[in-house]
Amino acid sequence: MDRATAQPLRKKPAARASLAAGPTRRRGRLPSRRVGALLVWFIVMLAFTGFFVVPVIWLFLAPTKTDHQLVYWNPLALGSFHTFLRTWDEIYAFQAHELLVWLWNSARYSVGGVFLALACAVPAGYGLALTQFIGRKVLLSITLIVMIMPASALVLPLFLEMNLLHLSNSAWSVVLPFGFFPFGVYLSYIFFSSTIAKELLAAARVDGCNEWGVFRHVALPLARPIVALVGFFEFVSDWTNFSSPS
Amino acid sequence: MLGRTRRTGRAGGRNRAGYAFVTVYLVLLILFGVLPTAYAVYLAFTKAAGRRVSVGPVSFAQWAGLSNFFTTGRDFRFLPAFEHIAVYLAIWLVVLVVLVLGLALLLHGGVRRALPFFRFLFYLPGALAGSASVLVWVFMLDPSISPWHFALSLFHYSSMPQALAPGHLPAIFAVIAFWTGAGGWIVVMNGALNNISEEVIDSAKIDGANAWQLAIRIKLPLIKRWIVFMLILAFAAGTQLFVEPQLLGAASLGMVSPTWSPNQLAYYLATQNGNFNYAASISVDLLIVGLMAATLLVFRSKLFQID
Repeated sequence: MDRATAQPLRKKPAARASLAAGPTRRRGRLPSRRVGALLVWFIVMLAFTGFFVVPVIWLFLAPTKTDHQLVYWNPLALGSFHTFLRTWDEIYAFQAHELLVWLWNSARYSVGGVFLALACAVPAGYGLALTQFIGRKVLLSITLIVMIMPASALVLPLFLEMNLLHLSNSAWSVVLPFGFFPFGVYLSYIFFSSTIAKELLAAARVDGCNEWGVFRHVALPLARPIVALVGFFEFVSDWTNFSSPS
Repeated sequence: MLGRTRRTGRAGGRNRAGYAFVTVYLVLLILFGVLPTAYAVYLAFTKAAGRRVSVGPVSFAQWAGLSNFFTTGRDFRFLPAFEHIAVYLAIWLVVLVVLVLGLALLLHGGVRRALPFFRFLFYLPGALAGSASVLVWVFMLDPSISPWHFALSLFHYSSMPQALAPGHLPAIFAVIAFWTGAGGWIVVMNGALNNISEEVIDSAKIDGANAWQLAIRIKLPLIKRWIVFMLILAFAAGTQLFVEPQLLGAASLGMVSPTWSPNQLAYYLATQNGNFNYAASISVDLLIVGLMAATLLVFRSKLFQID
């Protein structure tokens, strides 16, 4: 997970610490103003880290404690490994190891969803951003409307539709809707429309690349950050998805 | 003359290529986006019980006009739900925009080596399932259990009913939503900031821009599209608030009304009254509100424009 997020953001090592190494930096000591700024920066970052992480730490510690300990002990106290094992055993034994089936389902549906979503969303974002065709704005608008529509209102229609297509109770009834990832289309669209210079693509065309080649050999290699980002968000959204399988 | 025909030929090819790139997506969009949405809108304008009209093999429910909208609109729970959501949205959008952009800019302009580390930690709650994150907050908000009890005692909350007083709810939901959602947007904004070319930033520095000017005058305008996109989705998601009040209500044994938000009211009407048409009409109300905000933002920011 960390790698997936880190990937798009790895850049040239230039300007490693831009706050510490501004244009005024000299060899040797840092000016005291910069040290102060650095200190404030770390304090702010640590404060927000606390806000984001403490509940997660609490959650990880919860299974090591009994109900009684959960209520009466210090919230961030560690219970016992024994309790943790028992908690796990009880979940694992639930409905004859049903948990393993659930995990396996989540994994294969998510992986299938990621591949399908990437294969659709990235080319679509590219097409919407870097080619002109009639209906382009209509497609952007409809995508936005569908994203804004309350998802809860779509559960029943989707279920009826799956029944109609005789797909309910099959893996396709989950993976195909996962592959539809308008959020990823917009991420790709904004990336391509604001980062990739049209002249670059034009140059490739002059060099004899066809449209597919321009995408495959010029745009796609430059789009690695966004491919990783879309894949990552798609995976998390599939993995934690609740409403569509039920 | 020859040049001209060749150019149109080229552009025509690119035109067709445009369709080729969007085709697969288009199929999924129609199947899993347009058709379900259309069906939900159809439900909003038809009656649950009533004479069905058959046209060939397809039978249609009786047309209801706007009556579903009027019935739900006159419901005594309708206006309070929209008021709740309006207050919540005001808090949530301000918190989201200021803090997400603030943190993303701080990360980008700060110690680069520490960036992946903090970004990962900020994102961590986003990787939890929505329902799990709300359950965590049920515990976080109970002063007798919470690791934040010192913070809660600052506000003189000594019991959960005090913490969950009706007036506090919009702010509490904003905090939960920020906790779960901000990290993802920080990742997106960070990716956007990393796409700004080093030359642009370097030349601004040579021109004497300090860190603040660099952030406000150079970086923010360059990621405007991403900000607009975040605003549209955050606004729509905010109007659709559901899991937080629903689970907090269940876990606190009814301290949050089951019809606190419009989306909850829709769910209530669908499951308790079995009327999907009423529920659909509320969803369409929310869609319209979200679309008005989106239209305004799209046109003001020229989001669809490419040159």
